[in-house]
Amino acid sequence: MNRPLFPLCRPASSIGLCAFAIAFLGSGSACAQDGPSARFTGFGTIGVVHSSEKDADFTSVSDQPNGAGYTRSWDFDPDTKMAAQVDLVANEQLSATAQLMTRQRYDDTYTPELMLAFAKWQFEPEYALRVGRLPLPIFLISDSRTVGFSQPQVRPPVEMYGAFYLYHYDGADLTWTTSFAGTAVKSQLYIGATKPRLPADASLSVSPLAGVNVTAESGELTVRASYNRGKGTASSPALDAAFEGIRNGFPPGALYPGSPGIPGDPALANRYGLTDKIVTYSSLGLNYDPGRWFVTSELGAVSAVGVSAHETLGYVTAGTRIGAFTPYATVARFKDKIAGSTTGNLVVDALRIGSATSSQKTIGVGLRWDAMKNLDFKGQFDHARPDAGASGFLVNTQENYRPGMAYNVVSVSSDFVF
Amino acid sequence: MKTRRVASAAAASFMIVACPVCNSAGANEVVVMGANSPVAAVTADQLTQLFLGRVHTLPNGSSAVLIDQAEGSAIRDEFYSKATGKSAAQIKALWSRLTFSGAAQPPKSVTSDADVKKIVASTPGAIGYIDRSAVDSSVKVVLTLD
Repeated sequence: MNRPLFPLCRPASSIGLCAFAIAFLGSGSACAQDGPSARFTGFGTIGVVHSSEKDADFTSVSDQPNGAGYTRSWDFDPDTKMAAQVDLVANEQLSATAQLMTRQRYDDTYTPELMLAFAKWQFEPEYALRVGRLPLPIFLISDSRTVGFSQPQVRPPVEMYGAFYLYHYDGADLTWTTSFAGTAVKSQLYIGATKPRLPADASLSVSPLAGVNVTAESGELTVRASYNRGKGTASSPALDAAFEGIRNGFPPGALYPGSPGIPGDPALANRYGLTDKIVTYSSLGLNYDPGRWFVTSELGAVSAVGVSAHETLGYVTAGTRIGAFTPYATVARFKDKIAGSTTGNLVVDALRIGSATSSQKTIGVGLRWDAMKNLDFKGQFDHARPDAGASGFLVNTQENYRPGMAYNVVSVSSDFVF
Repeated sequence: MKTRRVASAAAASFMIVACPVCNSAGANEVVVMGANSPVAAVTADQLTQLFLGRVHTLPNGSSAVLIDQAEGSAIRDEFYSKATGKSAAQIKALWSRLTFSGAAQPPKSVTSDADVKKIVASTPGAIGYIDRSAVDSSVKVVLTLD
């Protein structure tokens, strides 16, 4: 069971130490219409994935309990999803939106989840306040990450989005959308909390969580910057037991046959325990799209300063449009590291080292075909190489799995909107 | 006078109906608002930002109400090509992103120049596009695309 407890880190051991994540975004405003109205729409993806690594599972997002490779040779779970949305517009100022989605969840079911449920008050033409369940806006496309039809790739690169299973938060945001000398600028402030569930009875709580996000769009160029900060707590039966042991001490032989006794150290448990630790997330996104070709790039940095864990992540996707076909290529990189010296406590050091094993890079090529006005087909080939000793973004690593081995992923999908 | 109006209406509908098969070359869209709108003109940049969902206000600071023509119609595809440089597929992908992220509602869409005129003439802040030949006294041309 190789399961990340925090989006920030992906533990290699059965117990995971990690950090969290946060979020953030930009929302715009609805356009006003005459009288009350209701719109019913939806979107979805049907996709199948094959991974050459047979001793571990490839997943699109790390809150998925299994995927392609070990569990299934060809698997529909990583990318397949379906969502229905209703938008109610009362008048020019008031509207409400709800979105229900089914996809593979932490518990390996497709139980529908409420992804969005908010009311919006456009109290001035340029200002809007939204309250309820809102999309987390940390990244350039994180508020629309599930909408395959809006993206060239089969899925947003796992190095950037795979470790982020924070989809939404409950809270409020304020957006200001204006124009300066031909450049549209949307600024967003948000505050709230999010508590995603994870496989193996693990969970994460980031509360409170707040951020600021600015998007500037001028002609062919879009630039987005965000800064987010939250207080995170991670929990799982294994993690809780480990820190309970660190706090109270381990008797001789408790960890493995013949292991030395370790005295209890409440201060160390508090220092490295994943309870109420501040996490910051900064990101910069860029899209340049003159029409015939485009390039999209994102860079991010995540820090859980309290536990000295840091991640840097990013990708570049470039493509060209030839009629209804869009060939593209992506290079992505994820790097995590644990700063600071060892603590001398066997268990704490093992947890810390085990929490930074996701470093990986991927080179991929793909093709999107806009077959109909609301339907596309995509094919993608990825070559992923975890760093030495790392398992990258694979989960469910088995006994025969060897860290640091490159693997290939083949994906075929179709996205639709209605 | 009356015959001329009928002729021009017929010509307008001919262009809309026939253009999908005649390569739509030479169509001439104009951007219109109600004749009484306080907005005198919009620039090409402002139009782009409005119809890409990037801003929601008119040059005078009031809320904009975007009016689209039918999906798949020649005038719509040509309008977006000229106003935003994007294809129908790219526009569809864009509004999917804006809609399903809860950021914005897509423009209301109607099926004829006459319907566009009816709405922009009666709705404050409404802005749409029609063929130049369909312009009458109920609307004001705020930008000509060519």
